[in-house]
Amino acid sequence: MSDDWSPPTGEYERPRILASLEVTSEVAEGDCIDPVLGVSERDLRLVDAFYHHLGVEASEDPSPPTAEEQESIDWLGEQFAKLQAMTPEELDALREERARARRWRR
Amino acid sequence: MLHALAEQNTPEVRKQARRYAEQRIPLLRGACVPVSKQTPRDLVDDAITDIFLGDGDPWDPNQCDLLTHLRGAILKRTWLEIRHRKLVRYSPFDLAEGDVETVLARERPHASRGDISPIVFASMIELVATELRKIETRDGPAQVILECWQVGFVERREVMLLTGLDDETYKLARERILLRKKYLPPRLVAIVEDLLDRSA
Repeated sequence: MSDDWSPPTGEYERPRILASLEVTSEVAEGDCIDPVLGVSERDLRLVDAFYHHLGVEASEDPSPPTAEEQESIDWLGEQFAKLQAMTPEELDALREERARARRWRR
Repeated sequence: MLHALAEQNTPEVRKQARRYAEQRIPLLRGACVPVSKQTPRDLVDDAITDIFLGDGDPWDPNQCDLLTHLRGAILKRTWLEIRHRKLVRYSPFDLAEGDVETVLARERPHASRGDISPIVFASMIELVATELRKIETRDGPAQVILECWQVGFVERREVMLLTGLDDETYKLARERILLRKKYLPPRLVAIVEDLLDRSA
């Protein structure tokens, strides 16, 4: 992995991005999603993004699957084959079942 | 689209998507979302089923490959669950004085099986965020990427579009950020690994 950073020449100034970023409505300066422990939305998003990129790195690891991973890969293949073999009625029923499960989770 | 799904849903892509999903587990567990050994697999299955049934965000094979879409779908779903849990789960805590290491040491024995206490999770968020903010202020490209991340823009394409970074500059800056994982306290890493072991 390369880490050959040299000081910037000024072409990526922070004001440029600050001016262009449209912050989503749920993120505001000082927004605190856990007032007791002081976890801010920004910190949570930052850490979430960091883990996302660690995940992207992990997914690009070319090593062969472990036995446990292979089991999941095969299972996922079987599930997909089952989906493909379903009739339109069975697919409608599955859609309804998943919608119910989502409503219940909320 | 279904043709592209069948074509791209290869064992290799399923392996890559599962490996991605596995990295979401510490955060899910930290936010007290119930997880099991099968969760990474189930997250991938849900994302594939969504595409097949036309639920959730639609996949356009001309815009991105299947793996990228699956990672995005898993990210979105897990992020919403984490955020939801943190928003609804407030409970009083006896916040004793002390540094993070002391709090971690005190809380860990009391954590229920496979659970991270909210205090440990808050400490974990604080530690990682603090470490990421140690990126040099002179490192403009890394700084603007972090700014994008903390307001919810995480994908390479959108970050590059927003910042104007070119491909190579983005790639190197992202690598410098990810290298910070080396500096995270071993104690934090040990807790996450231990919790993962206990969930097995």
